[in-house]
Formats: sequence, C-alpha cells, structure tokens
Amino acid sequence: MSFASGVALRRAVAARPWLHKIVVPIAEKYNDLAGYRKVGLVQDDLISDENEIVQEALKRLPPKVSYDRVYRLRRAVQCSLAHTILPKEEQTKPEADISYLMPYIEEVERERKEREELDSLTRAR
Amino acid sequence: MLARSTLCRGPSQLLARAVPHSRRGLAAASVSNPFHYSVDESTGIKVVSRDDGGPTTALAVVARGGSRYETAPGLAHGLEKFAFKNSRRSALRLQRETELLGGALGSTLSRENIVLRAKFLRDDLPYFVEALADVLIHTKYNAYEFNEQVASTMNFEVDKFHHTPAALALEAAHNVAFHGGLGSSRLALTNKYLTNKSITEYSKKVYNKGNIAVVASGAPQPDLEKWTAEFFKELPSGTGPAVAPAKYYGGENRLFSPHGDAIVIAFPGSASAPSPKVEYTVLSYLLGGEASIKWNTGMSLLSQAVSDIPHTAAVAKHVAYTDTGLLYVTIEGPGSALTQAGKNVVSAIRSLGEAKPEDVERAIALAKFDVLAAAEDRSIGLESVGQTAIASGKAPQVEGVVKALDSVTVETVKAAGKKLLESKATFVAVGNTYILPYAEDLGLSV
Repeated sequence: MSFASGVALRRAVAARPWLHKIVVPIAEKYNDLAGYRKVGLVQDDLISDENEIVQEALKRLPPKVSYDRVYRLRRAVQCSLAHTILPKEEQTKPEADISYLMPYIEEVERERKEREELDSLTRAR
Repeated sequence: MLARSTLCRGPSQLLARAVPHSRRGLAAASVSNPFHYSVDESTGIKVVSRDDGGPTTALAVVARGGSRYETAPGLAHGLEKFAFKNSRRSALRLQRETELLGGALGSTLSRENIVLRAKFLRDDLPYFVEALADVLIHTKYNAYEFNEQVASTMNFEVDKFHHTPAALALEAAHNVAFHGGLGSSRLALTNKYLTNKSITEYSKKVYNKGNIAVVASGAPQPDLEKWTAEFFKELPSGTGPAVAPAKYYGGENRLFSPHGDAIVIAFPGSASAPSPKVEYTVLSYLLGGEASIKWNTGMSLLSQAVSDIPHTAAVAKHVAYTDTGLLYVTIEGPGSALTQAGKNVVSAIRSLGEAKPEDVERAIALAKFDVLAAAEDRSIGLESVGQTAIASGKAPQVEGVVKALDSVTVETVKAAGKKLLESKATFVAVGNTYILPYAEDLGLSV
C-alpha cells in the first residue's frame, strides 16, 4: 500500500460532507489520545522514514522545515527517555498539527508512478 | 561490389519517403529563396521563419536574458539550466514524449541570450511550440529540482570552464574589455545568489512578450504565427530588462591556472546590427589560424606566424554583440613557447596594414562560404536572427551579408587593420604566470 492511498481515503471522506462531519471529531479525538502531541510531535513526524520514498521526500524539505522536524524528534526522544511529557504550552496544538511532509511524499510517489508508466509504454495498434 | 545504380538510388529514395508528397509540391512552389526569413508579430511576439520545404524543422525561442542582463551573478545560467524542467507536465514526460516523436530539445546560454531549441519532424510543429511555451510560462522552479538537477549540471559546466585555459582567457578578456554588463561572467561562478526564488524573479523579468522571438527554420510562417498566438498568449507582456550600452575599455589581466596556458589578445570589433562593419569579419578570416586542409598549417597570417613553434595554435575570431563587438586572437600552447608566439602574432596583426589583395580576396571567399554554410544549416543561425528581430524588428538576411562582404575592398580592410593597434588592446594571460609574457613584452599598448 502506498502512502498516497491514505491521502486518497482522506480526500474521499472530505468530499462527502456528511461523512466528514462524523469522521472528523472522531479522528481528532483519536489523534489527541494517541499522545504524540503531548511530546511535541506532529502527525507527519510519525511516518516511517525507513524507505526510499520518504527519504527522498525528506531531502526535498525546505531547510527550516527540516530543521524543525529534527528538533521535534530530538525533543520527543528526550521526553521518552525521561518518561515525561512537555508542559502544556509546549505541546502541539491541534491547529499546528499540519501535514508538512505528505505533499512531498505524494510528489515523489507520483514521479515514480509516472516513470513506471512511461517505462512500460506499449504501442496501440 | 555495389552496382553504381544502387548507390545513386539510395539517398534520393530516402528523401522521397521522408517528405510527404503534397508538402513537397507546395514547398517547391512557394520557395523562391530558401534563406529568406520573414518577420511578423503575433500577439506582441516577434515570429521569424523561413521555409525551404525540407522534412525537418529547427525551432528556437530566443530570450534577451543572457549574462549581460542578469541582476545578480549566475542568474542567467541558472535560468537556462531550468529549461525543460517540471512545468505543467513533468520533465520526464516531456523528455519521453519528445523521444517518441523523434525530436530533440536543448538550451544554450550566451552573453546576450538564453536560447531554447527544438529539432523535430515537420509535422510536429504544434507540439514543440507548446513545449517551448510551457517552459516560458509554466516552469515551476522547484527548490528541490534546483538542488537535485540544476545545480549539478551548472557545476559541471563551471568545472569544465575552469579546466579550459582558452575559455578562461576569453572570459577574462570580455571582463577587461567591457567591465560589468557585457563583461560579466557568462557562467555562474558562485551559487551564492542562486535560489529558486531569485531565478523565478529573473524569469519573470526576462520571459515576456517584448523580450523574446520565436524563430523557425523549415516551418511555414502562417502556421508558426497561429501556434505562437495560441500557446504564448498567457505570456505576460513587457519589454525585458533595461541595460546600459556597452563601452570598450581594454587593459591587461593575468590569471594563474594549473590546467594549461593560453593568451587572448582582443580589439574592439563591430556590432551585429543594424549596420555591421563586415571588414572586421574579413579581418578575422584574414588573420585566420585554422587550416582548410588536414595535416597542414594553412596559409593564413596567424597559422604562418606560429607555424615554426611546435604545439602552438593561434586562431582569430570576431564576435558581434548588439551594440559592440570583439575581435580576438586566442593563442594556445606550452607556456614557454607563448612569448615567441605572441610576438609573432602581434607582428602579424601589425602587418594587416599592408595586407596583400589576394589574401584579402581569399579571406572574403572564406567568410562568404562560412556565412552561406551556416545559413544552410537549420539550427546554427537561429540565435542571431532572433537577437536582431528582438532589437530591430527585422531579420538579418543572408543576401545582405553576402552583398556586404562582396563590397568590402582591400583598402577598407587595410584601414580597419591599421586601426586595431591604434586602439587600446585587451590582453589576458592564463596559466603559468611566472613565464607568460606581459602585454608590453609583445609590443601591445594596453
């Protein structure tokens, strides 16, 4: 399953207002309970980066965004080692939990898919 | 043995197959002079074309945005290397589609212009006009594309430049001769000012309707105008960057280089338009330096001058810019031989005042041949045609240049030759500066 399929699901939900109305509060609650915001992370920090696609996407991040990501990760590791959570004002607020990496991942996936398609062109008779 | 008849039949049949019959008939009827460029404006863009009815087309978009016009060092180089990267369609798709159509895309950078080029089969004109329009209008200038692809190709070119003493010397000669503007470095020697943002800004300054020309060789003018109007209509209007006229200064410069030795001696030349002084072109052929026949030093003044010095070559060239020109001699060889070679070259230049009529005639014939041969080639002349069209709204015609060359007399050439050493020369030595000569050693006044 590709990363983009999750995004596709999200878009499918957003396209149906009634479904959106039901799902969003549940998702919000789930994200809150998941606990990553309490150590100052955002959702895109949780994407597993041990594959080529995410590695390439990470390389494409603007320098400031990339720096912030490393900072958040190190802070979270520190919290984890010390068995603490951040003080309330340093925790990630829901409105600050924006998807900074996913657009780049989508772009890389789109590029790879396009290359695959172009590599396997057949001539229509 | 191949029968003679088979040999004769081969190529003509190939040609017959490549050219659709209806088109060939049409073209043959309409072409009176295949070298004649017609100029027109289509939605504010200069469209220049000629049609000799051949099976292939060379298309170029000339934008007045070379290193002369850049607002920070290296922008023109960065913009040129961003050509054909992701736009509305991805760079990869453009490349693969071009390959499927049997075409080729490319871009070149000169001091005055960024040129986007395409070569393709005649019928694919709309596709390639759109492809070039996309580059100008829709290129995304992504930061990661710059880091992943553009910067590395730029660095490659700059590295190559640093390893070529003759190129370094010519670049330094321009700098000494014209100072800023026209004299600023063609390539991006530093990445310091290059970000995708600064390149995007520069692209907006350069890529606008009054600042480009669409030039085609082998395409009918009405078709080209129609497709230009359709695909370039979103291009913002404007007149491009303003620039101060170039002024010739002259002087001396010495650079150390571990990669070889070269000397450039340069003099003010003639502008390309509107009234080029063709005697400077004739002078460059009179000095010459390149042999017309293999394994032979040649009969031109410069090749005679350095023929006794082994492994040394001296070549004269004339480059014409919109408002000025440069006549330069490049001398390459082992550093220890360059002092003698330089002296011989300077005395050859001094002898221009007493040039023999038969030598001048030979130079004119050579110049004429090169002009006509370049005109026959589809892709060579497009840049200068576009440059003149942007500047004056007219296209330079080959007939005019040939006529001008015919009217050059021995006296005008001699006079121009005498004038060279009266003006302040430009002298650049690159290589082992410990042994390379100074301008004064060669008898030049700088």
